[in-house]
Amino acid sequence: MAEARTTVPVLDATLRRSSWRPGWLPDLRRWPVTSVIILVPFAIAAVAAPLVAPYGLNEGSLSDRLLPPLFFGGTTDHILGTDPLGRDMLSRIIYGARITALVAGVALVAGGAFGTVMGLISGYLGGWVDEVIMRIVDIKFSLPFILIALALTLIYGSSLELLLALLAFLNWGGFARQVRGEVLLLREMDYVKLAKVAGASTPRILIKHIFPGVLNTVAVVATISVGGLILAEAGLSFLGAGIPPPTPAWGSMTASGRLYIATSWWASVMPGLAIALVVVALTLLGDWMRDRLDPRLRQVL
Amino acid sequence: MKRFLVRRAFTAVITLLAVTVLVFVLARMTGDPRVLLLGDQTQTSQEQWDAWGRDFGIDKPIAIQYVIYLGKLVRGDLGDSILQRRPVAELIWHRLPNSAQLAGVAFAFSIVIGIPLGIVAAVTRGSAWDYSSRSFAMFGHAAPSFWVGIVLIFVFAVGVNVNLGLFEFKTDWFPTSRKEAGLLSYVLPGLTLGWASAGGQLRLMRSSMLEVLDAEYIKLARAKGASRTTVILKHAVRNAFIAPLTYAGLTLAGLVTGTIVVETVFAWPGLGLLSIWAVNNSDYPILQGIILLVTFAFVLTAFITDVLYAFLDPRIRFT
Repeated sequence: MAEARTTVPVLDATLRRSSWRPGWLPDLRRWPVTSVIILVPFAIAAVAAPLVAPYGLNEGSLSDRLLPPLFFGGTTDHILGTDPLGRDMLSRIIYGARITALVAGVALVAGGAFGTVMGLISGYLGGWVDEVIMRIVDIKFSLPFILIALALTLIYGSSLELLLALLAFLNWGGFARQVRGEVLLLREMDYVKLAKVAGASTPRILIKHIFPGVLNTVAVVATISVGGLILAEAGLSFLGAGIPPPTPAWGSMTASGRLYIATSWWASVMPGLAIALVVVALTLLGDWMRDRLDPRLRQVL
Repeated sequence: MKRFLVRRAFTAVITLLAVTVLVFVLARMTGDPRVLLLGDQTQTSQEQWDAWGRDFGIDKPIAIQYVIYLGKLVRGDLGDSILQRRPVAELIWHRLPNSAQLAGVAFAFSIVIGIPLGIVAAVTRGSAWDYSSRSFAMFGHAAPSFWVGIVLIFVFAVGVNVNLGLFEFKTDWFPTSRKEAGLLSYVLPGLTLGWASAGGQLRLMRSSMLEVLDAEYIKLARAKGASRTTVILKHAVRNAFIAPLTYAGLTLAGLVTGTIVVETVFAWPGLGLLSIWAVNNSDYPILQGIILLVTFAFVLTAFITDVLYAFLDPRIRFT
């Protein structure tokens, strides 16, 4: 008991010394306060959009078009103003949170699962299998993602399914690389070798003994890459290659408001601000997770 | 070393081949170019239709088509645009300088922003300076570049009225798009794109500086009586500069992709706007040409970077 007490201040001091924040700020490193403050409202918006949005998704009249936000000459009726079609910006941004969460979530799970499986196989089997998978990952990283996405949109037209497939494809390589690196270490562990000697099959070893060991890595890569996914989705939607128009994707909202920048800045600035805030929060959260769960990834990511 | 070079070159070639296969397969998926132009076959005679097929080279088996296609690529023939009926290479060549200039200006911005901030962050490690310069760079990376561009247009092109008591002015200093005010028109798009990649420069410069500042020769220089500024500028920065410099090639390649979005925002007549035009008009050959060019540029710079690294720092393990 006495020992435990003495170690705590020592640990505390080490943490403080390596801290990068100025002394007068709260310790943002121990808990990702900023991220939570930003992400919680967006999470609520995504989950309960119809309950929290003041107006319906496509509700509005052209006589209310491009009303300014509150504090910029607007009223409390439309806190963030209205868009070029007279729809409430706040409501559309709230519904947009849903789209963002859905697209990023599905793409993350699909790409993450595929990449993790590839990483497990590649790292554990080694040899030519490893060689082939890693070369494919290399090729994936040298492809100009946006241009390939545009080409596929040209061929198949823009749709949600295509967007999800593209984003999952964008995402799997990072998982494969990092998981493989981790598996290379785990593979040499005594408990894995013992399992092999005991006669466990390769799938069993991978699932039961190695997979739990890479979960931290998977969690960190997921948190770090989700911001990039949201940016990619927003970029494609902005270019008109993402989700087709009536759906309130933040990227396409920014694009449609852009034409009115000289007179009504809020129509494009507000949805873009939502993207920026969420990605900043996720980046901070990702850094925090990495330092917490897997400090070795620091040099790589 | 030799083995490393051969292996690295092999990977580069494989990557390029994979891309040609990919764009070739996608090209076949776009369907018959004759249908795109005419709607369907009923508008023309069978002989005319077949002649067009020979014109487009789609009358032979697919494997032969690929070999012919590859042969043309090697000779720099990227095919013809479907709608404009001009060689794609010519169209790209015409637009390339605009994108390259923008990428160059953006690169300069990313260096000008990233390197000094990286030095400041490393020297004042753990302070408010470190914290805020890293936040600044991180924000540029996290905010979508099209949005940053729009905000910059609003603030510095549309202009905001500023009233500081004695001084009253409007901040409409820069044009919104190209060719309106010469060099000034490069500032906003360049800044938008450069800020986004400044984060990478900052992080590399910072970590490289921290490593160098920890070295014995820095301590020796200080012990000898050299001032802090001299040590930082003369001894540390010069040595720490190698890492961001080798990374520069990769940033430049990344910028080419980044220009697509930024060009759309600023109506910049480069490859990005050309590819958007191609998408909207279903002109696949143009898009294919741009994809090939960008990938080639990326693979080449990555290759050079790796080789450069291997020569500059032989400690790098060749795997």
